[in-house]
Amino acid sequence: MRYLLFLPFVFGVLAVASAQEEPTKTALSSKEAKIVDEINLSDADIEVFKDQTRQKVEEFQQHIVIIGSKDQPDEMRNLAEREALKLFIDGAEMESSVIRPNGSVQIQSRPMQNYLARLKSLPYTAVVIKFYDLVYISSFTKGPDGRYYSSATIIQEFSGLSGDNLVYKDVTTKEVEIILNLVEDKFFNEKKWQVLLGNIKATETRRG
Amino acid sequence: MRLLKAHISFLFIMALSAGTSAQLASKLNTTTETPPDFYVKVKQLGEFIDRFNYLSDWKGDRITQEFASKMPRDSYILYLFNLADDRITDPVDSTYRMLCNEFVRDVTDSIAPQKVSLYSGQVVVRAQTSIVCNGITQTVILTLVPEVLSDRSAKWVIANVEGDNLLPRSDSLAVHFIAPNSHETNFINLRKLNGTVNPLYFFSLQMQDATNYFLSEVARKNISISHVEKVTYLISFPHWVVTVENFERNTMNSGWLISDLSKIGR
Repeated sequence: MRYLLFLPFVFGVLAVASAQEEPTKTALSSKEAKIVDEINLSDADIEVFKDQTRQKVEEFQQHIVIIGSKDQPDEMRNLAEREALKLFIDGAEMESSVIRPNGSVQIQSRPMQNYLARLKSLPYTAVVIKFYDLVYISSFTKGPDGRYYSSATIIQEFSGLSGDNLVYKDVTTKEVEIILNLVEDKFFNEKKWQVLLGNIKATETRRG
Repeated sequence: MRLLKAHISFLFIMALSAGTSAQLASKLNTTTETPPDFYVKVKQLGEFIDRFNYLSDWKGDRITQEFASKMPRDSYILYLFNLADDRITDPVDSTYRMLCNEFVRDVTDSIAPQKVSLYSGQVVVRAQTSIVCNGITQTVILTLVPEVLSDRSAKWVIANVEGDNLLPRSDSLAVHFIAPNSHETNFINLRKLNGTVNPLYFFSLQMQDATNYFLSEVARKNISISHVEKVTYLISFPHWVVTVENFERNTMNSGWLISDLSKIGR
């Protein structure tokens, strides 16, 4: 908030200076605007797909919480792991980047199944994972394969405990690829859009 | 006064956000209330573009008249600058601040406002990429641009590669070539390409640049991509180029922000 309050003073000259110079008059050409309109879905479609994406992401978040939770029965955690994997396209990877104290960034990539399996065996007596209720989903853009692509930003708060002691805590921002795939439902003999999750880029935002 | 009002409205909007968040959190026990700074943080380039184009508010919802009346576009764009930049806080030299103000005035001109369009050639990415080239780890810069296809789909394509040591070996150039008299023999020597270790040696020196060398070495599996270390967006406007980078820090002024601004001669 400090920055937000500071801003008017920093750029305080804006209102005064705006009258002093003739501005450049260039707008996005109608051709460019048309391109953007055509490669994106309609606003109504986007809202429908964003809702579906939000549901899929929440499903993934719930699986993650169960997988990480050591007080859940093993069968439940294994089931959550299997169900979580079903949400992803084949070959999806989790790329984690951790900012070291010296400012350098350590990047590690793992297949999604390895990431989920590792989540079950973390060296803590208890793990608490919470997701912030904010899910930011970008617009959908058609790819050359006919599928639509988007990305969702979710934020995860992780706490690792040893006994009653909090020994590790971080907040990680996760960028999730979203793939909208048209699949044929043979039972109903119709085509429908299926939301799948793709690669995830995880960035440690803060450590507590 | 207008900017002051904008800040009061911002606090009001954030208070509303917190209420909605609390309701959602009560339904899902896997979620917790989002701290306000994560709403304000520019989380994706798409969010940067939506905010710059005055399409979405702090929460990602469409800008309403109420929001617009309290937060005009020029004030809103100022939040997309990296405010930790020394040039902005410099109490003596106001050159960069004046430049920022001039840019904001240009893009928010009431008659011809300018916007960012990802697929119009306005946006170029420079991806600082770690590769392993012939067993040695090095960093190269890949320039990527969005390409729109005839069926109105889009993709990113690599437009250029820059990096040290991304050139064919000069001693190999002396071994792999088409002899100067080959035209007299109907270029029989062209068949040398069939067994070459790298066809690039047979092409013009102008084509033996880092990009083509990168292409040929990837095809020969001598280069593998490790990961992208950093992404920088360059967004062009008439008379301006804006650099956008990710600032990962625990403040509201974080995420994808304008890190530099250059004015191009008119």
